[in-house]
Amino acid sequence: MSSDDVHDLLDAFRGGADPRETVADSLARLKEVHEALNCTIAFLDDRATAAAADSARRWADGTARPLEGVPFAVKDVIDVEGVPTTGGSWVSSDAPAVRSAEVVRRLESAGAIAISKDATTEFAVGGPNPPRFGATRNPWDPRRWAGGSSMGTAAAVAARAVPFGLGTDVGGSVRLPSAWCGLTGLKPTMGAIPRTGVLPLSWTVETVGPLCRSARDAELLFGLLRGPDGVDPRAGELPPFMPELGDDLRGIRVAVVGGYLTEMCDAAVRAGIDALVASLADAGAEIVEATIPSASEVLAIGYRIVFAEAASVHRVNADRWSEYDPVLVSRISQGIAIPAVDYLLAQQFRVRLQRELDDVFAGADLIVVPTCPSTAPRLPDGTVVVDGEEFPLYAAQSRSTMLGNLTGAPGLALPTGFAPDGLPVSAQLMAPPHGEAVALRAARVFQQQTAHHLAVPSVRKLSDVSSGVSGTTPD
Amino acid sequence: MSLPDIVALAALAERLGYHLDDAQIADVRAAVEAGEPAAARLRADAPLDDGWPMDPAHGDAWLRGR
Repeated sequence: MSSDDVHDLLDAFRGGADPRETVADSLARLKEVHEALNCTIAFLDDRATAAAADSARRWADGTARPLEGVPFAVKDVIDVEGVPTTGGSWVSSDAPAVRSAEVVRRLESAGAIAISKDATTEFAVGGPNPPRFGATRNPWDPRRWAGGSSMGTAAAVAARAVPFGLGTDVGGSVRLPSAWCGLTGLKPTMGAIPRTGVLPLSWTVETVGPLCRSARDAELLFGLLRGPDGVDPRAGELPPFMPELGDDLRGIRVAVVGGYLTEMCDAAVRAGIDALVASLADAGAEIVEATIPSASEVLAIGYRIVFAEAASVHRVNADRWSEYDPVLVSRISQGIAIPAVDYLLAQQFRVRLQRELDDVFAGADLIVVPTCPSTAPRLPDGTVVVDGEEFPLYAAQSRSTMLGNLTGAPGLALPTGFAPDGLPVSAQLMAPPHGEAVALRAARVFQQQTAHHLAVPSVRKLSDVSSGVSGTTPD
Repeated sequence: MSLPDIVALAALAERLGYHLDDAQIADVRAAVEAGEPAAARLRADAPLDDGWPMDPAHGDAWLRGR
């Protein structure tokens, strides 16, 4: 597997490349990467090989589907028929899933081929070092974490084993690992992509989204993944998704949001945001300033909702919390002590926050905020460094991603360059609910002007965790 | 009103069907204490819309209907 994105790979298939070779290469590469990074829980060789043979036939007889033969990774909280869904936990049954999650089914119906179930923090809410399968290392530097919670998917995509993968996002779990691994990751509008067949964590907050190598891939995949399935009660009818054409951003207003969201933010991350904003302005966007008055409350209130819901979800295993990652227990157990009235007040806070965001979007089409304050966390403790100062992981990581989870607005993480430590930095484009198309357009235009998303980690010494792994950015 | 102490939190967890050890209950107590300022601000927020609380489902309708 090369540095191709999905579009490049489909072009190669149109030119005669054989999906059987691509899938075999992808599996071989993933196994090599896994040895170094610990990214994968199950390799789906038999399943993927059979699908690749069918894809080869379809390309030959002219019946190829939109993603025919494209391999992808699946976070192991998402069901794939015939394969256990472990959630990264000792507690899970190893019985195979009887049916694929709706998102997997849609991708496979479009011809894509699931090749792996990939590492997650335990049940997508535990710490960086899950007891059952361990930490996933970052392809850019194996002394760093790939991120949470969709860590295996992110590492596999960034290390060029697969061109894209599926993750879930409750407080940033698609966008944060995307940021830390140099990927383009989309948390869609709440309810845009059905969650059927995904292990629950926080019903009113969680989403499923793709981790990709380019905005054009995220656009393609979002179009295929979205829409109600008749089962997920939060995935209702949607307005049409119309990808926006054009190589410029004339007529687009971009709000730069300051205050709390950028107060704890490393200089390299801020420089990336500045470069993104300058690039969008060069492309014709009008830049405005905006504030979100309640932004400083978002993280604390968001965690109250998530942990209260997660404690309820995980009551099913209440007798087995001793087998859980202690970090997981320390996080969700606080949900037990949140009074119902406080929980419902927190839900009403979301309405207040949505109105504040409405006010911002009355004068802007997009907002730009950091995806996260720093480059990838250090292993094993998960601490992050912001302008030379060390912070605990959970004080930093979701400061500006939780905003999208609480309001339901979409957020797109995209790489904006590299920090002096050699690791990627990222910014987030947020749009009004169901405004993915404009965020994807802006990201696509940015990626036409820059090459950050094309940078490939140097994997020469991936297996040597004592040495840093540096990356290269194509000119 | 004071925050629940460790004994009260342990009893609450047990009553709700969770079995946490002393260290875990201590973690819960620490988290409750750390979260209290944000919770207090939330309780002090002026109600939306003339004082009538919003049905939280309103948020979902906003997400779909905008």
